[in-house]
Amino acid sequence: MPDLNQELLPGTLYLLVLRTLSAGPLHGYAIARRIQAVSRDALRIEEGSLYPALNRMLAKGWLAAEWGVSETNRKARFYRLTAAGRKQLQRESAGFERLVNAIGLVMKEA
Amino acid sequence: MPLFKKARFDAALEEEMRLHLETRAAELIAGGLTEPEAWAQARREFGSPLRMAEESRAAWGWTWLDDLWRDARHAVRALRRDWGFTAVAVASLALGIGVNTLVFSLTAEFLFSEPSVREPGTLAELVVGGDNQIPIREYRFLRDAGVFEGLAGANPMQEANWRAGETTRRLFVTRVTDNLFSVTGTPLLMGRGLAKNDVEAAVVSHRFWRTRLEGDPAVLGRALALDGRPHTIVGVLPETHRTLTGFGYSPDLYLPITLDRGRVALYGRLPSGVDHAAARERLRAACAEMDRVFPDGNRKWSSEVAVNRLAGIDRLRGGFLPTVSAFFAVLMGAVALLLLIACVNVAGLLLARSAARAQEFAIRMSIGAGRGRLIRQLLTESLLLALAGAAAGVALNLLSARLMNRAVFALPFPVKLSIQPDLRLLLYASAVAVAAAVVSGLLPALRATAVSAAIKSGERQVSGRGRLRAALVAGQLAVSVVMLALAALSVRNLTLAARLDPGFDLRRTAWAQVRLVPESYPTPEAVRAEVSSTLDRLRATPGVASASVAYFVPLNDHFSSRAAMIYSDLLPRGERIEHAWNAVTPDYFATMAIPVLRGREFTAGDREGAPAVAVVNEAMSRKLFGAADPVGRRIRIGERAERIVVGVARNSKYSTLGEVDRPALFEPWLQLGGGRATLNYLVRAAGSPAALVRPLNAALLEADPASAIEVKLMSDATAFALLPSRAGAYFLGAIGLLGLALAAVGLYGALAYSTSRRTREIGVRIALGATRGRVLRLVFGEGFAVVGGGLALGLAAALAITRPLARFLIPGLSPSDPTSYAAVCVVLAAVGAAAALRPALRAARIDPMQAIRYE
Repeated sequence: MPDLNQELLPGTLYLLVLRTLSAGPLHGYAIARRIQAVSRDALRIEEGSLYPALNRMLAKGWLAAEWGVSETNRKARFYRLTAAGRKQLQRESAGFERLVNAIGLVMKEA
Repeated sequence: MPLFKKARFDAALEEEMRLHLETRAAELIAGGLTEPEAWAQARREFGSPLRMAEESRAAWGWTWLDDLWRDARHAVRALRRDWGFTAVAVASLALGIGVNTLVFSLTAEFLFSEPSVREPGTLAELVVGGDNQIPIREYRFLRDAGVFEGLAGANPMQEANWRAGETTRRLFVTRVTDNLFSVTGTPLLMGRGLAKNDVEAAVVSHRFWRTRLEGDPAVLGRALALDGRPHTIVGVLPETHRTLTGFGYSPDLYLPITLDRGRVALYGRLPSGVDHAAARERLRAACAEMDRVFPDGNRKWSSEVAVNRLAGIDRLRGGFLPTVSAFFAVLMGAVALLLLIACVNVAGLLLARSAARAQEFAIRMSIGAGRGRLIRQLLTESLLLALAGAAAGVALNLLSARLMNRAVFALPFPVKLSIQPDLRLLLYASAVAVAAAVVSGLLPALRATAVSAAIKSGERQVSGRGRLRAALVAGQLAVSVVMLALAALSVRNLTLAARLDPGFDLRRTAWAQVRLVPESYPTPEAVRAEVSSTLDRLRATPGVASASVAYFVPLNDHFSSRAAMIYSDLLPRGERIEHAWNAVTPDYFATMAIPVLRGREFTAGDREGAPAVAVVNEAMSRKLFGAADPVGRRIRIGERAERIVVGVARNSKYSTLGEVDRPALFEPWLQLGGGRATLNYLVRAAGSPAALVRPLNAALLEADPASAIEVKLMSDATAFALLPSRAGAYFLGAIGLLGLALAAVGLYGALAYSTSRRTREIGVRIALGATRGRVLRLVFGEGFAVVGGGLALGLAAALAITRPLARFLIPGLSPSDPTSYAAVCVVLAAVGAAAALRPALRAARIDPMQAIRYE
């Protein structure tokens, strides 16, 4: 398995979490699973960095959390985007787009 | 962070983690793993839950408070476990901090304390014409010039005779203008300050009220017989009263100025909105006006004008103060070194302790504790130690301050310190404590965590740490060598000074200080008549060999110093000569047993109307006449009339024991004296002077029952001259011994630690045939290597550091005095041997079998 998670660009973890949650609230484990699944196992989020990141995003006000019941009927903490989080997602995707385009250009031309 | 909030946060995080692990494990089981395998893999994937929790908490920025709380609790537990270590460390710091804060309070009180006045910031001390005291007439002129909101004058160092029953006592008095209390706003314990129209009224000091008036609660309105007249007590000052004069000077009484004689120091209240600089310009203008109104050929009042703050640096200029300030600077430096030793001690102890805990740190780091976190925890421990040390130190300080406040100083005027615990002290103690924590905690913390990183990777590095400790102890010993050298020099200075020959006789002489009531002797002639009849009476007293009167008593008066242009037959252009001056009656040199080498001393013929004469000492004779015989030659001092030299006296000591061959000039008291109410009678006893004290007292009382009389032996009266040497020896000696004790504890700790680390090695050596003697030599050798290193370093530093001390030492004692340094070496070697003894004996008793099995 390619160990891409070691080399995630700084700040990309926030973008991935924000994008994943834009579809609807999820709990921590589900967020990690969803990112892994959507990227066809290319991106694996290390749990040790996921929870601190979630807490940092809560502290910044991008996310809100509330307790609910998981699909397996267990008590779980669900995270959802706030208005500030949505705005941040727009900003970060635009920035990311520019970065990817720029890298693409360099790869083609150089 | 509030504890309930933290608990909820942690519980939530744990719940999330459990869900995560359970779900992952379930998935893995579904994928075909056994349950234990699945859980193990889920956990591996998850990584360190501790670090995760810590970083999650860090996201909220609560952690430092939370960590602090936890660290503090942890530290208390850890310190309680090692109570022996804790006790030594806290005691080291308590001594270091206690002595530092004491010297700080003493310095602050002595040099920087503010007088007890309302708004000291807007009250200023004035200098006009380069003088801080001016005559009453000029004072009145400036008061009425309106430069200040109020201008008051005070004349400290005055005296009054207080008659209580059969005894008459000389009291110290500050005479003040009628507005002084209102201008300064001095607070009183009871009653009121002196005010307009008070003539025979007095305000008494707290000490005088307590000790002389029995603390009488109904003291207001009571009468004191002062200089033969009843004075009514109108007020009592509080115990914490600090005078305008400062430096602890504390007179018994405040009395109003009733005569237009004498001079006053000036205190002005700045008008609102006028600062010191602006007031100075206005004062200068007023002084220029005064120069016009009262022209005086010799001086201009407007020449040197200053408006100084009442406290702080402004006050420390000029006079004897640079020396006193330098003394306090040396003292502060010495106690700072003491604190340094204490810190190094604690650092050494922490370092030894961290070795024992290397395992603990390694485990904690491997389960995910950050290095920063561990360092912080170790720092918390040392901070806690430092705070405990500071608390104990402040307690020590409060205790010693109380003792100091009660102390009676061997000074010729009353001094009272009122050291108060204050904010500055607390700030200073906390600053010292924090500095101590950082200094003594950081190094061991860095080493400890670095070593545990090494242990984690399977290495053992102990020898490096042993060297660091040895270096620390050697440095500590070096510092204590510097302090010991200071102590040894000051003690030797005292012993030499006490044995120094003052050049006059101390064994057979007595000194009677008599203060006449000035109002009873309105003219100098009246005083002279009284003096000659009293001298006759003294000479007639059985046991008296001779008696005389002197203006100044040698070694008891710093005011006898003069500098003037002196001209002579052989030096017509004159030379400015700093010299000791005195006016004495016939028989002075015989009474003091100062040989007159050429010519004669004064006789009864050298009186008013007779030719003006002088006696010089050898040093003055050499300056004015070279090798020629001065007897019969003429000298002129400044613009005064010529005098004929009639004799040459041998050099002796005048102001201090330290002076060497200082020029001196004597004039006949009978031609000049009588202007002062205080007279110094010097008496030579045929036998023991102690037997004369009583008869002298009686004879003097008979001469004038209203006079205040103090008779003492000349040998006791030199205490004042020895005071600087004594203070230096006591303080620096005590500090040096404390430093040595602390360094000895450090050395002992280092050796004990190193022997315990080498138990196994020593066991092997013994098993291989090393004798006990060899083992003893091994440990002693290690100890002496450290002591030798510290000694070499310390001696080099001490030789450099003590060089500027030469000005404090008596002549003939070099700052590199071999005796002092030899003493330091012997003391250090002895202490080193004592500190090594126990570890060495323990090493020699090691049982090889047990030692090899050990670990």
